[in-house]
Amino acid sequence: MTADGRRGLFRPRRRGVVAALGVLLGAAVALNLGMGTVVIPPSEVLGALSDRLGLSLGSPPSSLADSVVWDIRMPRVLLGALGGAAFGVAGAVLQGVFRNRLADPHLLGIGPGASLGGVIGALAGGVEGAIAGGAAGGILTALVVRRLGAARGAVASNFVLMGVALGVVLSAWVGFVVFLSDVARVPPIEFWLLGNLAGSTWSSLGTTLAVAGLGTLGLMAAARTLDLLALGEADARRLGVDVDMATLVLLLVVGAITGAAVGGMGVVVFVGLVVPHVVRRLAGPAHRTVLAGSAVGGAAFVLFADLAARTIAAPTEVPVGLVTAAIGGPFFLWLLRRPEVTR
Amino acid sequence: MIEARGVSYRVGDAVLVDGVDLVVAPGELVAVVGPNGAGKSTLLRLLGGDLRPTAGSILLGGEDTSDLAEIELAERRALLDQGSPTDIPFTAAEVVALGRHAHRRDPDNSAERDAAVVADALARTDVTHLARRVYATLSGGERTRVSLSRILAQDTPVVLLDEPTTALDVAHEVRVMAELAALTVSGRTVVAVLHDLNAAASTADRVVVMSQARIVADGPPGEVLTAGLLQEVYRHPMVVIDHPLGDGVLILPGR
Repeated sequence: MTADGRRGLFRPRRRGVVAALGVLLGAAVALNLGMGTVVIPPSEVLGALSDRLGLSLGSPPSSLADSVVWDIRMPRVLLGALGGAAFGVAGAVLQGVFRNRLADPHLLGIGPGASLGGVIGALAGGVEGAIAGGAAGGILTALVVRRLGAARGAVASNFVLMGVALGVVLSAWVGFVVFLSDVARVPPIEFWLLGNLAGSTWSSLGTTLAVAGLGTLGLMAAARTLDLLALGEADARRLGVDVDMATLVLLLVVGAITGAAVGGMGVVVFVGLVVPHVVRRLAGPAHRTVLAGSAVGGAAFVLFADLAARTIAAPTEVPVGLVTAAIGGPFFLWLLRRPEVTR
Repeated sequence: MIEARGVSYRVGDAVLVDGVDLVVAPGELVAVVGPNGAGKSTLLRLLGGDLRPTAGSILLGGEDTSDLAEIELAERRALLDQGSPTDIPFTAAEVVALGRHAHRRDPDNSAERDAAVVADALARTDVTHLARRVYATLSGGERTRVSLSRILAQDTPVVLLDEPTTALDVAHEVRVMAELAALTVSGRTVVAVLHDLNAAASTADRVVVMSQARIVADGPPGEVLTAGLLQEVYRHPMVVIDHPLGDGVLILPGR
């Protein structure tokens, strides 16, 4: 058989999907930098960015434009993109590990667990503490979720219900801690439950970047393992996967990136549910594209949601998680009603 | 080469496999037959390292399976069982390609070699025309053939199969049995749990009969598959006659 004939055995890879999502992400970044209470024309945005990079592109920015683009909007865009990528990839990995299309870091309680860790961390050590505490809370909750998932025979939706119940309990504890604490020392309850990117600064970005950024990148290496797990645990093991170790490592990383992102921006729901499904429908189930697409698409989704959150009721900002919930909730219902077989 | 030495497997009070000794040499095709619940599938999963014996040991090419990691087992044996999930989102060719996972550790392997082995494996179980179909949309028999193709793509010295032909139509059963016989020609060790006694009689080098967790007979098909023994283990009258087309025997349930 010729090489061409062999290639015909496989469906064409749709790498274009990730590229298209990349273009979408670029548009989201550009719009987020330019739009808001102060509208800055694209050439001035370009000018402000290129100034910082030592280039001279676009038109010279006013000092206001420079400050708004670089000091206020850029860290917010980076944090939103990073958190969106982390949530998107976390969802894709959880769906693969548990072979459950309804899995999502926040629905399974990992986000609320990260919130609890984050609020305690904030009391102990401010923004840095919130991110570190969030990562710790995310990791611990991921380990609890692993035990829930180990209860074999649990129907897909029951497993998610257990996670939701866990999340409700943890969110209640977040509430207790917030309401019993000094308001000046912890972010308000709506930050933890609905997310908010308004507090992003360059100085708070580093820790999130280190944990969520590196963890998300690292998960790209899990594509092959997740593909094998799609065959079922037994066959994955027979083909050479140490299933228990792989599950443990993946859940620890998912807990860490979810938690670090939650510590920086709060819980932004449904990103991890919506984005991987859209990518799978567009690009097929191979995890190489699902993971890359979920990272890029998750970033774009959160940035567009944040753009809406900043502009629909300007000058008042609504929490970004309200926007993603308004889109993701109906999507979740649609998924629940859909027949099992995926194309 | 695969060897079971005094292997037992207990769950609570139930003894599923009781003191089994079995050696299967390279180039040999051994069929394991016996009534439901005799312990055939459990023995196969013990041989493949899915289960750890509660007594005795399994040697795979001279190495104790308990000492081998998943990836090392995957290089040495392929195991087809009856219970794969049906909702796999990949195409048939993608599923078969995943069978090559352990070969990534082999420095002599390449993407070209993977592609060639996958194409060959698909053709050998007659699923080339299904290559781009999504696994979840295939019929039961088609899924079995794709899974078998994945086992062939894994390309291991030992091949273990639990009822590989039960879901297949007559023509595909004959074809798959011929493929299993062909594996032994290239020096592989093949153990298959079969319900079709005639397939066992016509293809296997040796037949192992299991009943109530033990091996009750082990030998060439002509010697082992007698009406008397089969009647005893299946508790049903059996007829064994000379095959009308020549060599071997033909086995029929009596009335």
